[in-house]
Amino acid sequence: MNFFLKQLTEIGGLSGGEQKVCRFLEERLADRFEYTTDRIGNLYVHSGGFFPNDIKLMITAHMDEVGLMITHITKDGYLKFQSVGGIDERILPGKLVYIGEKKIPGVIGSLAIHLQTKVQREKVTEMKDLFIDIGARDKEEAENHVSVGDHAYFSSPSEDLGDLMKAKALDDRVGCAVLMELLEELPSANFTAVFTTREEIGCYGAMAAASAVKPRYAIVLEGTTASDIGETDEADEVCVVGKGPVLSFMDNGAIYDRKFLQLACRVAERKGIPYQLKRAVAGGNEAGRIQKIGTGCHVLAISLPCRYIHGPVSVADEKDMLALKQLAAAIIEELK
Amino acid sequence: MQRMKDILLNLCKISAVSGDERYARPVVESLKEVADGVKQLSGGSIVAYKKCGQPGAKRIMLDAHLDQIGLMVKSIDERGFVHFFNHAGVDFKILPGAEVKIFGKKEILGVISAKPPHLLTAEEREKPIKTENMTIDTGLPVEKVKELVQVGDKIALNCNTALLLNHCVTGRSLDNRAGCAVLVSVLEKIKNQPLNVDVYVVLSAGEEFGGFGAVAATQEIRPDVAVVLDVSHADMPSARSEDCGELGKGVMIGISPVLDRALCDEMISLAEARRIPYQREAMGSATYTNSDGIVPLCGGIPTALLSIPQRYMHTPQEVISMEDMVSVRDLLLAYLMKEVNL
Repeated sequence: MNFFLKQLTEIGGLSGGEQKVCRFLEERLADRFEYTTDRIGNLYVHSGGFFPNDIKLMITAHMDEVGLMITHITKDGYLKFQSVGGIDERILPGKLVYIGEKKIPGVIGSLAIHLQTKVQREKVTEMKDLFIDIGARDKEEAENHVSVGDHAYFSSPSEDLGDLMKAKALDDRVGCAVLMELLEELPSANFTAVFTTREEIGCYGAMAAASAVKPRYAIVLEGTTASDIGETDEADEVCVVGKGPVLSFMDNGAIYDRKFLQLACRVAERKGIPYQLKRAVAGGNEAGRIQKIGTGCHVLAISLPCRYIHGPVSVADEKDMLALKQLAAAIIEELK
Repeated sequence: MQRMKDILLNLCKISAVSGDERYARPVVESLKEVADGVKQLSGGSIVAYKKCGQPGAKRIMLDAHLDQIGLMVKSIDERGFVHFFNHAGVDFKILPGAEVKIFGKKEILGVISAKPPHLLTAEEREKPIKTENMTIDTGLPVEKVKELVQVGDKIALNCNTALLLNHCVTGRSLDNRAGCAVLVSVLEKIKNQPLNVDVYVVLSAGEEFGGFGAVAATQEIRPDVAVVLDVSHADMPSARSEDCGELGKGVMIGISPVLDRALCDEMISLAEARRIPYQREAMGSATYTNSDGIVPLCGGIPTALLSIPQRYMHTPQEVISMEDMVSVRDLLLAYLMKEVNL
């Protein structure tokens, strides 16, 4: 798989804890681009060099990922947690996570299946009944290694999966990787790239960025849910891995700009770039927030189809990532 | 402890889903260095022995099962997703989002997929996903999957092994590679040690599927005494303490009507005398280990059960303590040496 994306996805960066992702991106930008950060951690880069007074186009990709936050340490030394961003609690038991700055490994435990009553077996173990085990003997020992408020992130290594790739946090490190490559490959294009923070808990970074940049057009690069799995009906697929980037007409946060969407479709068809429309009104992303800032903004979302997003491992196609980049580049060219 | 940790981590790299222990061949090679002889029985069990050379010496069999829980390919659908049976005791609740390895014509990495939350009805969301509604995503096109994978192929859980605090280890198939690692370590320790008994170490096949491997090996060896090593539940939140031992508190010595009480008492006295940390594990009936199958064979075999406390059994991230493994090994060594002093 793409090495830059592999490195990006293997960094832990939950909402509000994106600093390591940001530093990694800054290292790649260093010496070649002028960049700046703001008070809530967004990273801004202008593709044409210096920031102009009137910014026409802003492209965002969020640096944060979903994960867990330690909320309590029990007297026996187990860690209780809440999710940061939306996580299906059914995928948590039996997973390995890394906690805090020191990357302390821990296991999400639940009662062994043999010891569960029939009633317990037929119920989903709720997040409040799950815990993380770091091997500590008691609270005092656990506190030497972990603090309440520490972040925990999934441990899945990023690698090829058949013809596809698997990694944690493809949502939305894939957007970050594409945005970086657009900056590098289109040095004279006139757009402002923003690597944003805290998307998974309410798009705080994007709102701050939109209010500061005040763009007329905004493109959000995202990862979106693909349900082309097993025996799912075609009508429920939402989108399909391998069939190109996904353009949304509406989701739970935004009704997308019709003319902007038509322009994107037209450009894709003219250039022969594969694309698909998101066949569901589901989920949401930064576009919904950016659209409402100031006097309004024309928004477009281009997403990578990803299976199992918001879990410990998601699956996507590198060819879709390449087509996503090509489509974004062609739209940038069109808006010039 | 470092050496035993290395043995354990190496054993954990092997996949040996019940009925498919052929992937354990490297174990046979490594045992050749520490035993007088090693052979793999037709049922898949591996037997390594060290004989004392005395005529009529007592034959002591030490058993730990080598096989692990796993899944089996049921069918391949039109999209190339692999459907599966829960074949040997896997906790189905931990499967969604887990990584697996399919042993087809080659080893194929897969991710267990389940319907995403937004497609579930409110009622479905409150229930665990059933095995029949999960599939494996290999990232390969359907033709390729059908070429490489066949109905009946074995599937193992894939996971990360990691070291936790207090010499705890997490990984898959610590049930019962932990027991196997203890036995390999015992063989290493007695390699140059004069004994008055013949020691037969059995890394048995098929325990998670009824224990056929240990039964076959026992009939081959016809031991005078058997000691079975396995894992048992350790304390964990929301478990009843009376159902569990405690992690890090030493070897669990089994007491059950199936087992030989005198042998159990002897183990307890030895542990007391050598100050080896131990805990009693009382079971009112069968032990659900290889012991149950071994005891009635060959005219009846006095059998003891030593267990390593384990949390989250039958998940990809089981947890055991290396300290407990050391106490099991020390007790076994004390037992074997005791015969020397007689």
